Formats: sequence, C-alpha cells, structure tokens
Amino acid sequence: MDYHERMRSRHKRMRSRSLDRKRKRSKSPEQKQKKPITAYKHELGRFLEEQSSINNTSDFWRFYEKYKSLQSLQKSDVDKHKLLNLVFMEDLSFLYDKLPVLDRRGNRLDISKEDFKDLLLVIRVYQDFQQKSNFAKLHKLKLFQNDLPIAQHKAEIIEKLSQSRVLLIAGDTGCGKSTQVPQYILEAGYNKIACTQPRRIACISLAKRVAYETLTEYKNTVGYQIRFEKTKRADTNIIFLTEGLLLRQASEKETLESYDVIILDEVHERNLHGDFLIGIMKCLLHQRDNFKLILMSATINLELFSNYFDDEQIQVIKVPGRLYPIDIQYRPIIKDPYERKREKLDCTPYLQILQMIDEKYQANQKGDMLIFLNGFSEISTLADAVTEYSQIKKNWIVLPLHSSLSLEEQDKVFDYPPEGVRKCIISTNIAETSVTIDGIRFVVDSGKVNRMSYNTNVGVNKLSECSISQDSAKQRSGRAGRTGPGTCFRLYSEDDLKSFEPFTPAEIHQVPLDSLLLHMISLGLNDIANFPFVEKPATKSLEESMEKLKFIGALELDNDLLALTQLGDCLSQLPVDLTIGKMLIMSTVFGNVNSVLASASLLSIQSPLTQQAQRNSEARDLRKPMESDHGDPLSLLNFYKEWLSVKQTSTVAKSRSKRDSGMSSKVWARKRCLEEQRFYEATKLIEQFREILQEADLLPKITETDLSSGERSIRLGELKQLKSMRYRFKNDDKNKNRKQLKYEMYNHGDADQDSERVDIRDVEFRISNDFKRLQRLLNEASADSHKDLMTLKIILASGLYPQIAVEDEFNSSKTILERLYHTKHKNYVFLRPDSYFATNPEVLELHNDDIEVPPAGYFSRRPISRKHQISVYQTILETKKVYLVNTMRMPALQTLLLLGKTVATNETFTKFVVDGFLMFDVPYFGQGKALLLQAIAIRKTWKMKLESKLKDPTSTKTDQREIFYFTEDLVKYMTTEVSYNIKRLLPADLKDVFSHNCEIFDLERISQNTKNPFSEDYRISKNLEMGGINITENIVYGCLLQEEWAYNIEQEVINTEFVCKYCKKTCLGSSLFGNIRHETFCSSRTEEGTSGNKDENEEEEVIVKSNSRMYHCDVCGKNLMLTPVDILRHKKSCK
Amino acid sequence: MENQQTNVEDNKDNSTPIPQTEKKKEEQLFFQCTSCIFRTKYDYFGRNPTQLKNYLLLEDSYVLEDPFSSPKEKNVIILGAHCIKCKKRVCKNMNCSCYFEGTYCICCAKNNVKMFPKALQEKINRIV
Repeated sequence: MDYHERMRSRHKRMRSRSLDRKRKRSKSPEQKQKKPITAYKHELGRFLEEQSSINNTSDFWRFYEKYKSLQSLQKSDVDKHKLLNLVFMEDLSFLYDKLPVLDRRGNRLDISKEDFKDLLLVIRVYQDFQQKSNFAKLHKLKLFQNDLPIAQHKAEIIEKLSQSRVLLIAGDTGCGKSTQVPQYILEAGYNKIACTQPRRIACISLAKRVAYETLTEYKNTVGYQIRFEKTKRADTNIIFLTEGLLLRQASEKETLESYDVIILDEVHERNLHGDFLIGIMKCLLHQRDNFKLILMSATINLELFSNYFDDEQIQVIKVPGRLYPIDIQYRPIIKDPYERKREKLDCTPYLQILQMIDEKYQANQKGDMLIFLNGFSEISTLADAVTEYSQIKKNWIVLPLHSSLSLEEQDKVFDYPPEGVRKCIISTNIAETSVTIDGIRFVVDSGKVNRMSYNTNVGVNKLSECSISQDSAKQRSGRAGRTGPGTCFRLYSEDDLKSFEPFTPAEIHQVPLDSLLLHMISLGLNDIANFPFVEKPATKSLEESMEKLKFIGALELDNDLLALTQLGDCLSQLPVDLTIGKMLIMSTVFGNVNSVLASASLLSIQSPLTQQAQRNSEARDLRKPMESDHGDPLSLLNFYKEWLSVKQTSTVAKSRSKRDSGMSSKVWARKRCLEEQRFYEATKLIEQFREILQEADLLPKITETDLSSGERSIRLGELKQLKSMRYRFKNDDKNKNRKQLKYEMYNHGDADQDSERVDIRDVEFRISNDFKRLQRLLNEASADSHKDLMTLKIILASGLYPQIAVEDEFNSSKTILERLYHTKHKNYVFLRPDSYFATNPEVLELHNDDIEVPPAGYFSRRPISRKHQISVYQTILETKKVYLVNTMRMPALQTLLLLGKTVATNETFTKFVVDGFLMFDVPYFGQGKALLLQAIAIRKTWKMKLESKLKDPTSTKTDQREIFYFTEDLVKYMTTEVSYNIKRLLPADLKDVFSHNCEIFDLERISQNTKNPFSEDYRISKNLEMGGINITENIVYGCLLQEEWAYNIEQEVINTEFVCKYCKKTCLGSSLFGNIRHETFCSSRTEEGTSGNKDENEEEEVIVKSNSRMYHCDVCGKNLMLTPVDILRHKKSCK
Repeated sequence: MENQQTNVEDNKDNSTPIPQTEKKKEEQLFFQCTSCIFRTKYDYFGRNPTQLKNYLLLEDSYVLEDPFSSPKEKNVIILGAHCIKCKKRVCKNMNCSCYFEGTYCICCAKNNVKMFPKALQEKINRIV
C-alpha cells in the first residue's frame, strides 16, 4: 500500500513537470504536415508495452492498420466506447505525458491529443479483441471436452469411484478416456494420480495435452516421468509414466504409497508389463486400503478383467466409441485344391476390389483404401501389382506401411492425394492400433497376420503366418468408419471368422519370461506358482526361464529358496534383455565399457540393413570394406563407426549445398542400403545404456570435458545456427502439416528432392552431440587393436553364451546356400543371407592346411586342428527357414572352457565335454591341461573382479594395471595354440559319455581336508550326476568314459617318472591329479614365491608342442611326448 | 446437458448470488454459465484484477489468469459477468451474452432489443 501511494505522488510530480514541456511542444504542430501515427511505431513501442500491456507490438500494429482500413469502409453508428468493458486506469493526459518527447531522429514527437485519444480507443478495441479470441479458445476447449463420448459418464465415473476400489472403464479409441479420466478424478479431489502408458511417447504427449486441458500448461499440476526424464515436482497431481517405470517403483515403497489413484491405461493390449502390473496391483489392493485402481481398456475381453477382480467388486463403465456405420462384405478366396502351393501372394482378389471401387464410385468421391496383409514380402508383391494396375489411369497411389520403413516414409501415409486419386495403403497390423489414419473408407482384410512366438524348449523365435483373432478383425473393420461410413471387405467367410480365436493371445504366452521372473524375484515374489497372473503362463515356460536364470548365474537356490545372486540383483535393475544386460555388466568389470555400449545398443535395435541390402550389388560392394570377418556384431560396429566419421567430416545439412564439402551421412547411408534412422536410435541408446549403468553405480559419472574457450565460442555459434534451423523446421512443419502426394514420386523416386530439405534428425543429433562428444562416440565405437577386439568379442560372447552353433561336418562339400549349422536344441539351422558368414563361409571352416596329422595311436574321422571355431549368435529366427541372427566367430575350445557352465573332463585333460553339447578330443597330452589351468585362473580372477565390482560398485579404484594384465592374459589365453577336434553330442550320445563313477574320490584319498590344487577355496566333492569330482564350480574332473587312446595316455602318465620342477623329487606311479597336487603345494615352490605360476604354464607350452608325438624310447624304456627334433636329440643323448 | 454437472458449488437456479469480490485462498472457485455448458475455474471476481496492470473493468467480472500464455505476460481471460437486468451469470460467448454499457444475457437482450443501436440489434436477432 505504502508503495502505491509513493508511486502516485511521484506520478503527480512528474505529470506537472512534463505538462510544461508538452505545452511548449504542442505549439507548432499545425504548420507542418501531420504525420500519421503509424510513423511512430518505434517511438510508441515502449508506451504500448508499459502503459498498455501489449507484449506483441507488431501484432498490434497489424491490427491497427486492418482496423483503420475497415473503419474507413463502413461507418458505424455505435459508440465504440459503449461496447468495451475495459478502460485505462489512468486518464488521458496522464497517459499522454508518458509519450516520449523526441522521436528517434531527435525531432519533436508530433502526435496530437486527438490522434492520441483515437489510438487509446484502438488499443482498447485491440485488448477487447484479444480477450474475445482468448475466451473463444477456452470456450472451444470446454465444448470439445464436453462433446467427447466419455463426458456423458463423468458423474458415473466419479460416483462409482467413490463407492468402489477398482473401476474398469472400457471405451474405444477416440472416446477420450485417456485424456479426460485423470482430469475428472483430479476434480473429484484426488491429489496424487499415477497413470501408466505402454509407450513413452504417449506419456509425453498425454501429459502435454492434459496440462493444456486442465489449463495448467504453465504449472506443475500435470507431469510425466519416463526413464531419465521427468517433469514431476512435489506439487504435481497427475503423473503419466510408463508401465515399466511403475513396475520399478513397486520396489520403492514410499513412491508407490504416495499415489491415491493408480490408472492403468490400455490394459487390453495385454503386454507383459501391463499384465504383471495388474497382478501386482491386485496384491497391493489387499495390502493397502488407501488407494484406488482404475483400469482402462478398449471394449474387448471385459469379462477377463471383471472376473479377475471379482473379489474386489470391480465396477465397470462402458463408453461407446464414435464410429460411422460400416458395411461388411465377406469375399472368401476359393482355393483351387489342385493348384500347387503358391510361393507368392495371389493379388487377383485385391485387384478385383480395386476395380470394383473404380467402377462403382466416382473419382471425385473421396475415400482411401487400407489393405491389411501379413508381411513385408506380401506387401511388396501387392504394391507392385497395384502400381501396375493403376499405371494407365494413375488414380491410385500405393503406400506401403510396415515397421521397418523409416519414420519419414511411414509419415507419407498421412499426406493427402491429389484430386481424383485415392491412396492405397498396404499395411501390416501396425495400422490396426498403433498408427491411426483418417480418411479411410475401404478396408480390405486378408485375415492374416505374422506373429512372433517364442518356442521355449528350443529357444527359437518363430515368425509365422497366422489367422487373426476375431477381435483384430473387428478392430480392422473399424478403421473404415472413423471419418464417415465405410466398407470392409473380408477375404474370408463368416464361418472362418467364427473359427478364429476370440482374442489375440497375450504377450505372456509369446515371449521368454526370463526378465519377468527376475523382476518378480527381485520384488520378493518368490512364490511364482501362486502369483495372481491375469492369465497364467505355461508352467513349462516358467521352468525354462528359471533354468536359464540359474544357468547364467542370476539365480541360486539358497536353502530351497530362490534367491538372486549379486549378478542377478544387478541384472534386475537393468531394463534390458538379459544377454545385453550381462554384456553391459561385464564391460564395467573390464573397463572396456565403450565399445561394448555401442555394440550392445546396435544389437538392441532393428538391423540397419534395409530390405534391398542384399539385392543391390552396388551397395553391397560399398559395404564390403566395412564388413568384419569376425562376424555381424563387429560389422555393425564398423558401419556405425564409419557413419559417425562421415558425420564428423560433413557439415550441417544446409550449408552442404556446395558440392565439395563432402557427402551427407544420409546420402552415405542410402548408398549403402543402411537405414540411417537406426544409427540415430543407436546413438540415443548408447547414452541410455550409459545412464542405466551410472544409475546402478556401475559406471562413474563422467564430467563432460570442458571445451577450450575458442572451441566453446565455435560451438556456441554452431548451436545458435542449429537451434534456429530446428525452430524454422518446426514452424514449417506446423504450417504444412500434410503434404500433397504426387503420383510421379512413386515411379521415379524422390531422392534428390529430399536431400534439399533440412534433415531435422541431423540437426537434433548435432545439437545434442558437440564435436568432442562426437569424437568420443567415434573412439568408443572403435575396437581396432587386436587386444580390444578380442576383449570386445569375449564380453559379447559372455553375454550371449550359451547361444552357440557349430557347423555341420559336411558343410565343406555343400553350396553356400545349403550350409547348415547346429545349436544344442535346434539342429539344421541356416545363416541369415545378410550375415557375413553366409557369403564368406570359408572363414568359419577349416582349410586343408589347417588340418594336422593326429598323434600316433589316435584315430578319428574328425580332423584335428588348431583353428576350430564356433559361432556365437544373438537369436534364432524362424520364418520360412530357421536362421541364426547376428553371428560372431570365436575360437572353439578356448571359448567353451572359459564360458561353459559345466566343463567335464577326464583324468588327463585330453577330453572335454562342455554343457552336454560339444565334446573335444585334445590328443596331445599336456595341451589340454595347460589350457584348462589357464582357463581356471582367468575364471577365478574374472569372478573375483565381478564380485568386487558388484559388491562395491562405487569404488573406482580398480587397478588399471591389474585390469591391463588381466586382459593381456585373457587375450593370450584365447590365442593359445591347441590342437583338437570337435564332436557335437546328440541327446542319445550323452548316455555313453559320462562314467557315473566317483571312485577317483577314494582313489586319490580325498577327504574333507584335502587341499584343492585347482582352486584353493573350493572344496572338492563327488559329482553324483556325472561321476568324477567337482574341482571348481564349473569343472568336473575324471568323469568321462574314455577311448583306448585316452586310456593309454593315462597309463603312460602313471608309468612315467614325474619330476617336480620345484623340489626335483621324482616319483613313479602317481596320477596326473597327484602330480598337479604335488606341484601346486610343493614346499620348495612356496619359497620361490608365487611368481612362478605364470612361467609354469609357459614352460608347459614349450614342452608340449603341437607336433609332439608319443615316443617310446627303447633304451631308457620311457614314454615321452616329444617333437621329431627332440626325439632325435633324445636318441642321441640316451645311450 | 446441464444436469450432468454435479459439482456442489454450482447453483443451478437462475438467481445466481453475486460472490464476494475477495478471493478466498485454497478454495477452488468455479464459473458456470447459466445459458450454456461452459464451466471452468476462475481466479478473481471484480473490477480490478491484479494481473491487469493498466486497465480497469467497467463491471464486476469473472476473471481467469490466462492459462495459454506464460504467467510472466500477465494476461487474463474475462470469462463472464452478471446480466445487469436479471443478474444471471453468463459467459462471454456471443450466443450467451452481449455487451453494451454492461453485460446482458441473451434473453434480456432479446427482450429489450430496441434499446440497442441498429448494428447490435441485427446481431442479437441473428442469434437463435
């Protein structure tokens, strides 16, 4: 109050002073020519802003001119003043005094009081107009809200929610439930409302829309929270979040308890997270009585949910959607029973419908067509046929739509066709729910869908053609009635429809449940059999997943209770596939995080290779130099790295018009048939993975390296330019949201056209990645040195194991296309045609030069070599054939001894069986032992490092040198030369492999107190399953049945005099186990120090060379393993 | 249409009581037009809303801080006022009210159409 009074008095003083000035000023105006008031736009700017609260002065002046010109046209008898409900607070002369004295040229400002009075009136009219248009906006919004079908049920929803704890709101798309229900509930007085969505995008866009509708765009009332991003504040009332995030919050009690209403939207989608959340919510309803649950779904399968929440007395509210009548015509395709099975889709029925539409409907009657087919090849076949059909009339524009198209191409379906031309959108089931296109009048439904299912016992993802569900059929036909009455042609009979399953099966029946189980156990829901699943998954698939989790070491049985291991606990925190999660965790142990992040993200996205990638030979040649002969994951990494370096050398989109400044990354990618979008996705994912690891404390947070001041200013300029480009792009986009399609575009391609345009993704990429970061990304994507490459491969393999395949033994005599591979559970698998090995199979195979002569006494059809390899793969995909996806080659024995869960061996380490899948003969005595001892040592260090990392993830003190030597050892181990052969074991073979005999335990006089020479802190025990003894967690000793040659070696060892290299004692007749035990615990050795450990292995290697053979010296009667040269030497000396 | 609104605060009878000009904190205030379904919260009732720095209103009006622009811009939306004849609460929509030295609800405007200047009369008559 005080303040105001002071201001008033100051105003008065100022007014009297300036009045004097004004009087002087207004003496002369009549003589000069009067300037129009618009000449003083600049001078009046400040007045308009400060005294009239006009923020956008240019807008005002536009209004002013329009108003004046209108006024001169029509004189009105109405006194304007009487129509306006607002006036200036101050009087005319006070305001007049506020005008500046001089104009910008230093002359007197020449505005008469009359003119000024008029200006004030226009200002008031302007303000009144602003008021009215703002009000109209608000009024329109309110009418729109009130017009939504759901608005009729507002009172019912609020009332039923107050009476019941669980509510189901079922409404079809477009009824407004997702936007309105949270608002109704907020209005009804609930303050903490959580609303889940299956997709992140929906969270963001819904939060924006609801904030707009609740008139709180500039407040925190409505927010969203997705991983790494939130707009949630303490005063946020409605929060949209992803299902995955709410699931994670299930373990944070306080967060979960702060919600008083939880809304689960789109529950009819029946995805894994959604189903799991419903189960958890059911449990929560019984635990807490202070929150309410609302399920929202489409109007399908309501009984399922209402029965599920029967005990909780669920209330159901049904909201009809808004659909125009749809005429459904059944046109079943009659199959010729004698015709051979077609490879390609029969296009005739579709073309007949097109023809019928052309005849029946005039071209000027608008309405597009949407055809539902099952897969990519069907879509392209029909697309070609329709293009050919409309070649003469040019009245159909064909637009394919499937998920492997780039977003830009997908967006074309929203553009509008020229007059007299119809769009013919040929789509997968993506247009059923995910993409909504308006203007569709005709729907053609093939009744088919390609569905991915997961076969638990073989681990195969099967993509197969299935009939759709009745519910999908309804959804598909509904697409014809969104903007007007429409027609749906079903290419099946009504009886067929009845034979379809009523609902699309839930995701829980289709996918592996590994992650779900892991999550459940991490939440303490150990009693999986009694968890209230909406639909119980098959017991078998639960068991399989349980086994898988135990296999990878995430789960263990602790006193008959399932418990997470440290690794499992960590994996459960990472919202990624288990294999990827394991890679990421391992990478932090090795400190080799960067290239693994890039590889893991490239493995997590769709392949960047386009559908044409194999057919286009030019592109194939261009890609060739980037392909890695180590396998697809590394080729992907090379593609990405190359793409980054193209990005680095090229400049921002627009300034590239000068030809010489290099190729844009977009053109670069297109020429190589690579989908650039995938690389942008990968870049984002890398950052997300990094954040995930940082969140789990596995990775220290990196502080961005500061740019130098010079660099910073360059960067600032660049940013400014980029941001203005983005701004312009977005504005352009708003103005011409939908473009007109041109018929020609689809015949000649539009490559040149769009390279002119600003590539917004390029701009966005450059905004978020400055040159330092780009350089960092580039460095990260590199695994150039042999050591880096090997480490990367091992880490990838450690995540992917046991997904390995071996080649068929007859492959070398087959053509490239016929070559077969086998995995443990699935035989006869092919390589994907786009895989590097599919075109270069010789890389995986043995050459004649690589095959070695077996030692004396050893016979086998299977070749002995040092170069055997296995392929590690990411997935098995079954389409028309069964394919391995993303394969990478690894040295066979080394990899398996390092990663195998159960390595079984005989007493002389000349035979190994790993995980009941592969059997190795290592007939040169000593090589097997050396390799296994190395493997044991590495596994031990690895495990220790992993444990210490997981136990105390924040300690960044992991000795760099230690890691360095460890990786050195690892790489050396992987390249150790060892000669062996491989046999793939079939289930029937397994019967004759193991001895099931533990007598060695007694023979070696092992007791509770026996020290274990292989791993001191592991207690040796009998292995009752296979026989022999467990000498480490993963290695079973002496449990294999052996052929004669192996038995001979064993005997020879016993009969050979053993000389301890430490104490020089000799003894005869002891087994290898005894020898090792002696050597490890030799008293003289400990004096020498433990440094001898490494040398020992090396010596061993020197002694046993691959060309050594068993030699029996007649003179001294010894059996020796010697090379031919050594044999001669021995003969000479032994006389 | 109107009967679906259940909020307690709204009075459906015609003689809407004129609220106090002082806004009470914490309590959400709602404006409901008596002639259409328009209903929204409001921040202020009176002639001199704080956000409106340089202007005064000529009648007591229901005012909402403009939700579509940043609060820094200090814009407001005038939602409506009471009819000077029958005191009914009406919104600013053209079909619900008109302004001529004060707000008239559309009924009163039609009943007293002769009072208005010609141009306005035409407008009023056009509204059904």
